[in-house]
Amino acid sequence: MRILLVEDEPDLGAAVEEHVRQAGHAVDWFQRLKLADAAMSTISYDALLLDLLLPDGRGLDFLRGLRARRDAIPVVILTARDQISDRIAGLSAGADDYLVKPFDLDELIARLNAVARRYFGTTSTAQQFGPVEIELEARLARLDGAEVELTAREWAVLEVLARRPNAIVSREQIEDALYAFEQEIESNAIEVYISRIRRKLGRDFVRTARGLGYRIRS
Amino acid sequence: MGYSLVSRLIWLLASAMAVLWLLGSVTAGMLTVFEVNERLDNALVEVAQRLLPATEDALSAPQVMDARAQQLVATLNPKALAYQIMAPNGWVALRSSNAPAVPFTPPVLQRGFRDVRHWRVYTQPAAAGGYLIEVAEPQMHRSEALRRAIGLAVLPLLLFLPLSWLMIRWAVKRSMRSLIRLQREIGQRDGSNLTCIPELPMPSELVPIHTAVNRLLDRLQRALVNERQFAANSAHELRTPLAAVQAQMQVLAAQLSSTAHADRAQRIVAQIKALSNLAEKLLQFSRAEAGLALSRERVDVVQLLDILMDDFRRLEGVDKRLALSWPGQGSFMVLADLDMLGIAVRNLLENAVRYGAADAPIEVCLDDEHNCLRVSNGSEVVPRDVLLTLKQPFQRGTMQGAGGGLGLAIVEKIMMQLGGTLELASPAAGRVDGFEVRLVFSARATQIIGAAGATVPANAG
Repeated sequence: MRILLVEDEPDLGAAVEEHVRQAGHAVDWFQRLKLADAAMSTISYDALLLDLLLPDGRGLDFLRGLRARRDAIPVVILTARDQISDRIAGLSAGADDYLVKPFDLDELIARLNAVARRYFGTTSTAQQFGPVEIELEARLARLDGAEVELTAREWAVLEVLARRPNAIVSREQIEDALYAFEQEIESNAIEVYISRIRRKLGRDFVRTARGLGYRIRS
Repeated sequence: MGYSLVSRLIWLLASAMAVLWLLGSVTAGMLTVFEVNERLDNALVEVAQRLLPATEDALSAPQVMDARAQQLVATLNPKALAYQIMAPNGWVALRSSNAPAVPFTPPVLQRGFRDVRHWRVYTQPAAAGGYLIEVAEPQMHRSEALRRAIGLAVLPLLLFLPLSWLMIRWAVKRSMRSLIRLQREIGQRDGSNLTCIPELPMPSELVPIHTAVNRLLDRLQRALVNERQFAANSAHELRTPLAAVQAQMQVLAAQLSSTAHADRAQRIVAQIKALSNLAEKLLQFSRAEAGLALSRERVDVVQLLDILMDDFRRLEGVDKRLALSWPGQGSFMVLADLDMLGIAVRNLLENAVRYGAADAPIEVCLDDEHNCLRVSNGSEVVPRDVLLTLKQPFQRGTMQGAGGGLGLAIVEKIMMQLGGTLELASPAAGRVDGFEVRLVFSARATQIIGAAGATVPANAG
């Protein structure tokens, strides 16, 4: 997934960015709402980790703005505000989850995966695509029950496809997922990774929609 | 329960009025008796003096004297008065028809009044011959006259007494109207309403009270807002660096996972988590100490439990153990501060998860019959002497766990401010072991709203 992190505390932001990246997601980290807003206008993020008190505004207002323009991106609020009323205000503003600082980084990843699962409509941790079984959170892929080794980049591409089963995923969306590993995406990089995935999980596992993108069928 | 100022004033004024009325009546009665006696005595003297010339003919022409006497007495009150003209030897020489044949009194040559049986008698010596004139009035007549006079003097006062009570009541109530309005306005102030009392028409004596109460309300409101703001800022200032340290240390621990320093790094992470937990408890304690639980709003405990229990269900091994029992199905509303009640309930759930037996269920039960929330967990029976110490800060009893020992002290402070109580029991109700905590809300602050939305008054617990 490509994650947008908005956190003004540098040490916390850096640690979260690193941990989320190590969990296999691409992360764009901003310390100002204005910059985050600009990034969201050009990049399609899969989830937003949002602090509430930022130097240039309140995270809740930013979130309300997102929901007002019908942006359904999954949002996890990261805040030091620990009261129930704060939590209710956050959830009412449209947050999908609410994590109070200090939090365990593994807990953060679990929450992130949970909201993404809900957002993409995959309630089960294990997904079946014909002979292929994928467990996104455990980062496991099996073909006919046998575990298949995938690289981090291959996982990034597979995850984008698996989170939207049956839907066509554009090249740009896949490029956004690969952004965590490569600042510059080679023109044929997508085809290379798709080809490797087909080789490991079956030729018909990933279908090409000419001129539109790729998809996998459940 | 205090006394009513209005009732007391009415009764005091009415009692004072009654005492004054009694004194006035007695005085009026005594004066009336004196005046009436004097008038009637004067009448006796007057009749005796009018009879005096008649006695001159007593010896020479008794018929003339009799005629004269009859004529004189007729002008007075022949029914009420009787007379005798008595010779010195006690022989009644002449008498009115209503006078007895025997003398009123033994013949004594002395002017004056005497009371004899049934008569009030005035004796007047005649001018000559040692004759005595005695004019008498029946005592019964005099008593009746006195009764009438006293009645006329006192009866109007007797009618005036209930009238004066009604007037006093009206006057006191009217005078106290502004005080009662001020009392009502002050009575409406509580944790949910600390607004200043509006300007009211009131006497100058009440203005300082009105001003002082408004000043106090303003100070209290500002103090609560400041405390809340301070608590929020403290939480932010403390939690953010702790979060940064913990996150950085977790990243470092992950990087050191394959080295000899990994264990130490993990221990530091655990210490930071314990420190964060302690900081959270101290913040909660300071919030409770600052009286933030005094404010009031309608809180649905069922919804509150949904949010809090959702957090705990994410913990490993807790989901299947944690269950809510609420026979009422609808809302369980209490008047409380949402955040502070949230802190109280969170502490109970934390304790149950932390100290409860890992293989026993954690039961959260809303009891509308006793207006309480019960949280019970599996454990060995906690001895009574240990149970008594658990509400004290930094007491963990015999239980083992990573808690700071502040949870129940925080909960008790919050419940005191909510007007409720915190009760501990071991064994848990209906079991031979286990530990149970009850948050008992006051019946006045509790309202049950049924699943269909119907409001059901809470039972007095």
